[in-house]
Amino acid sequence: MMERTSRISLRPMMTPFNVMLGIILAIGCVLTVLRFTGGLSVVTNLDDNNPWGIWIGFDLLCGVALAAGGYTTSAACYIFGLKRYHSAVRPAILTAFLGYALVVFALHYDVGRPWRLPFPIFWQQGTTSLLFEVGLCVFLYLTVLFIEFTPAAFEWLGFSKLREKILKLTILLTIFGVVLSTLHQSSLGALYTIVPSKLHPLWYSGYLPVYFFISSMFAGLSMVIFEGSLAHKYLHHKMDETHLRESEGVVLGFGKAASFIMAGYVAIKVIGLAVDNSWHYLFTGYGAWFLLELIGFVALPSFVYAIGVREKNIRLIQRTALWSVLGIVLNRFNISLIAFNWQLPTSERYFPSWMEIGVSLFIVAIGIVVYRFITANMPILYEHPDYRSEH
Amino acid sequence: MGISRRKFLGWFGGLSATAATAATSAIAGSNHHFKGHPDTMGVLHDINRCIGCRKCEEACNTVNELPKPEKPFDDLSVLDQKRRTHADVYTVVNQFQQGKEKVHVKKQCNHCMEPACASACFVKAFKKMPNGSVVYDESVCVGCRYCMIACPFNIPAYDYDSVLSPKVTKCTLCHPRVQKGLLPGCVEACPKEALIYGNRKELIKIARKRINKHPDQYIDHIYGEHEMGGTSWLYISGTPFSEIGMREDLGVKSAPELTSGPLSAVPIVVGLWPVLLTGVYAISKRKDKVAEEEKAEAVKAAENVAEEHLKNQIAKLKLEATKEKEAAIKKEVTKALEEAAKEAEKKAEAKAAEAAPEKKEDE
Amino acid sequence: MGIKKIFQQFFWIVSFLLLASVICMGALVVGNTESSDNGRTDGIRIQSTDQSGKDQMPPVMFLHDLHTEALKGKDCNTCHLKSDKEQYTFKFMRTANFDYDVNMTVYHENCIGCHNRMKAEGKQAGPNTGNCRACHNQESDLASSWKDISFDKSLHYRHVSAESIRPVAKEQKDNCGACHHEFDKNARKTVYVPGKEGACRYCHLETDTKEARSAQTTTHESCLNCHLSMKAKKVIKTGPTDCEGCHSAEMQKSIKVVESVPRIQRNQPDAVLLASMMNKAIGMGKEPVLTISPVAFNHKIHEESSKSCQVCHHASLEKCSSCHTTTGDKKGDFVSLEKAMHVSKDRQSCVGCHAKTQQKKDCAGCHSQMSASMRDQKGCQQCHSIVITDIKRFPVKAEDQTKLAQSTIENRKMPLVSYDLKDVPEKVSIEIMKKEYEAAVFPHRKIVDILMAGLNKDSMGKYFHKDKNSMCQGCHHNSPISATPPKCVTCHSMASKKATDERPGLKGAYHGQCIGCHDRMGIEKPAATACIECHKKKS
Repeated sequence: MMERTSRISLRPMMTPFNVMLGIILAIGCVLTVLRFTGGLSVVTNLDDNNPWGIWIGFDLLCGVALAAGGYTTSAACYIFGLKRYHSAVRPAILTAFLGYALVVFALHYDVGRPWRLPFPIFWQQGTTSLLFEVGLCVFLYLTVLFIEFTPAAFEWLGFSKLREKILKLTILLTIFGVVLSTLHQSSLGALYTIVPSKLHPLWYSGYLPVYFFISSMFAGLSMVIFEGSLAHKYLHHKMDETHLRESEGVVLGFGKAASFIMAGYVAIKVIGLAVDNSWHYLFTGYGAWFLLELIGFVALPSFVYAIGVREKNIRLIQRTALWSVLGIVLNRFNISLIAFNWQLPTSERYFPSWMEIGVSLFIVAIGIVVYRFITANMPILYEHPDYRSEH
Repeated sequence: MGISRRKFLGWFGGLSATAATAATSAIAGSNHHFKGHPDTMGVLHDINRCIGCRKCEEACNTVNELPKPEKPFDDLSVLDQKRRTHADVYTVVNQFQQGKEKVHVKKQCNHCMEPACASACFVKAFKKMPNGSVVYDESVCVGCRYCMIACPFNIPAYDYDSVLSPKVTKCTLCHPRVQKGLLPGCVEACPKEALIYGNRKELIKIARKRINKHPDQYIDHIYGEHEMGGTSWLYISGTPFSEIGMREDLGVKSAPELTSGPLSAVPIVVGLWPVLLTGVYAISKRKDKVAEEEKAEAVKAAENVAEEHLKNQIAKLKLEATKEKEAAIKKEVTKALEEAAKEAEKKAEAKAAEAAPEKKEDE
Repeated sequence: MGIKKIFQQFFWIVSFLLLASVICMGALVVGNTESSDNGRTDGIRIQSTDQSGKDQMPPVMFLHDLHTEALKGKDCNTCHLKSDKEQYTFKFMRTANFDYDVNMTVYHENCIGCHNRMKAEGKQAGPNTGNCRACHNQESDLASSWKDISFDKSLHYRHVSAESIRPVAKEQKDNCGACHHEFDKNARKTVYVPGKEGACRYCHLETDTKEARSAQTTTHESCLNCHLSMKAKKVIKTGPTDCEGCHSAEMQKSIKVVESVPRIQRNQPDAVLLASMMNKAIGMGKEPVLTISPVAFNHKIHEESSKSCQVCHHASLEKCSSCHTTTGDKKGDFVSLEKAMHVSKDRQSCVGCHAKTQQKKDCAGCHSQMSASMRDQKGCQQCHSIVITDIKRFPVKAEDQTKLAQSTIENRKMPLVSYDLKDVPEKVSIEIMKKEYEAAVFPHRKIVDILMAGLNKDSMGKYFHKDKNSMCQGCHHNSPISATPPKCVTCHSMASKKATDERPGLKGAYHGQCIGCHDRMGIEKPAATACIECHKKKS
């Protein structure tokens, strides 16, 4: 816990990493001003042929996929009754909550009239649209995550009665969370089912919703492992005995689960190829890229996960978790940016401007800063001494 | 985590009801087929007739009160570049070289029978009117640009330059004019009647007749009759469509048909998942409970066994102790007896020795 | 622990290699797309026709000229065997097609064998043993610009008049027998039958038949062997011996064209009376009944204006009605005589060929806007012109029928088409847009003069437009033929309305007619987009 002194001393905070974060945050603020005074054309490389860039491809698609640790961990612990993962639940819920909150925050940059974002939910519902489906479920799920997060905050603030009431809702919220997550994770994939003419046949499939949902599962599991490894390195002092004791089990268990699910994912991807008879595309440049994504970033990590679990090699599993996370990012990038509009000539293709990249980094930096603050002050990585008996 | 069954079901039902109302109704597995509004109008574009004079572009600009472009409309050098619709440019004419001939094609929103943009919009900002026009409502648009992703013809354009009021722009089929009984601006302006406006079914008949009358001058295909489920803007041409910038690989499935599968899965998930997940939860809880009970039983059984064992041990020890005691006593008694015997013997000997010396004295 | 570490490292290396190879494969595939040539004419597709359903390799695209270039100086018998008659056969290293395995062996042994030998000699050669897919490549990227060569009257005459082509027998004056023959079934060989010459394709069809081998085989054997022997004899002007020489568009353009070819003598008529229905009745010994007026067909003039006999005589030199009977016969593929004469799509029918002529620039301005299959009653009489008042006086004997046809033809008058000045206004002033623009002045007479000049250049034009008012129908259409046809605005409404039928409004009618005509006649000035040329803005 940070010691409260009468003066705020800045020196221990000026680590190189923090300085970098600070710069990113500062640039981000400038870019925000630019975006909202100059419009999208000033800050982005978006055009009429490429209306969605990395703010959708990375901040929305990757953000939602990688925040899936919330529902997977809470489902594992509360629905499947695997109590040994309990210490991983709060960090996962926090990551998910921050992740989704930042997704909504990022949307305010991308969308033309962000003040109208509540319109589709409260004013006029476009129920034929899968984006409506995504919006509604994200909105509801963010609420669920917020509620699931509040007990930690209440423990910090001392609102024990309120905390008790909310904890009674845990199983209900968890089930609701899984339902909502299934819906919006798959609907993000389903967004692209409307454009078979623009998405490369190797990535386009009627099964896109299924692919996105299944991949979100191991995205979440890998992200929990990866973030756990980062937290172990940099927030070790905040972790209590239970957390430290259970952490190895979390890595091994989640690694095993991820390995299985990734193997299943490879299988259904191959089945999808067979259903669409797209084998001949594998012998093109895009085909090689597809195989790189599927074999190099899903099949191989799945195998290495299995090895790591068998050898009980925590480092290997943690590295593979990062590998899998990169695979998810690659998959979402492929679908939204690389294999999308694949038939357009190179001169009409999209590449993000440095300002777009800057805003995305800005959002990630905010996430890191807020995460650090919350884990430093609230019982996320440790159990609050007053409430220890309840667990 | 105690919550009574009743409370749980109560919460659950409430949430499901809320979720169900938000669920979409999609007629996915049925045989229904939208034949279009009966009086839907359309425009027939005869590409053979187009001379690339750009009068249609000019009329569109005037009728919709759009800002004037940099190069005036009678500057035909713009035809050297391929253009697409753009913010405040609802329509463009493009030029293609076919051997020695030049072919011109007008490009604008095709006002599909089942528009992808209307299906994709999550605030219902696009609407297919009964007269065929697909109109855009700026007052609800959030600017998500999913319509631009969804449109297979890449028509909607966006106002990226505007900060406070960016909007999607596309041809409106002159909906306000048409409602007043006027012709769309471009149709009226075209000197060659390369554009004619009328009832879509009639236009298809006219197109067929024209193709039959001059089979050597036209490709036997009305573009837009079935593409993407049918469009209100129809095209006939003497040049293959794929050579004049019109995609022939779009298929005949409309966009709503493409997404009806995923959409229809939503209510199923909402209905089924809670049941399944609750089931898993119940099973895992039961499993835990049974495990607890079995553990308790095992512990008790182990305790009993231990007690039994202990009792036996104690009895055994007791027996041993008794035996030992008896042996010890016996030993002591034997020892005492032996010692007593020894003593007696000693005494006897002593007595005998005493008696002997007395005898000697007598001689 | 040591073994575990080795295993792990080994695993990482293998994974890296896998990834690298996938990436390289992708790069290879991407980089492998060759740029296609402008188009070659010498591509021969070697494809097995094995019916056994065995797994087969993709077809081979063999480039003939490439090989003849590479083997310059070598004789054709490097690859092509000579037949008994010392003529080259143009299959590869065999005189006939055998079954699948034998064919395959022949190809492989000889192709690859030669490549191997040349490689051994240090020369550049094609793919050798084991390099299967270099030849058996999937759909080749190469574009084919192979063009069929048309052996028309001019090219035929160049052969007829060639000194180097000698007659077959001393008695023959002409050298027809050098190429033309019939197959004598009894003698089982080809013999020259004078007076029975016909086009090669009458017997030699697209594929081998029982009666004759395919056109491809026989034309190559006949033509190429002769050209090769001429070359050997050092004849200067001789035909091509490589694929490109006959089958490329450029080389075909360079073939000298003889303008006025002397008439081929084949005992053909000058004039024919077409009266099949009546002749059918006469042939059955019945009284002829007049169903439709007979046609006096000018065979001579049609010979002069056709590129070759085959344009009309597409399957044999007999008369049309011998296969295309009035009711249809198997010989004529059940195409009745009426259809054979009148179908507008095919060149070999009368109406079809005439329709093709209407596509000429001089005629297309008006005719392209008309329906392709339009036929009106008045049109029939242009050909069916012999008026028979008394059927009993109809000539029965063949010579008399010919005489009737001849005299009808001689009496055909084809004066120059002209018009009365009073009927054609000099200029027409169109003032519809007078609010914004000066009147559009339409130089009516000038245009009629130009069209008429084009018409009078052509005898068919003069004939079919005998009625001088018929020319007006080009623009003043869908109305009775008259010297004072209706104005455009009579039928084409000025108002801008929804389209309910094919008829354009006045604006579309004007521009469609004018600009459409200019377009089809290849008139570049005024350009379609030069609106100001006709519509001068009011100052």
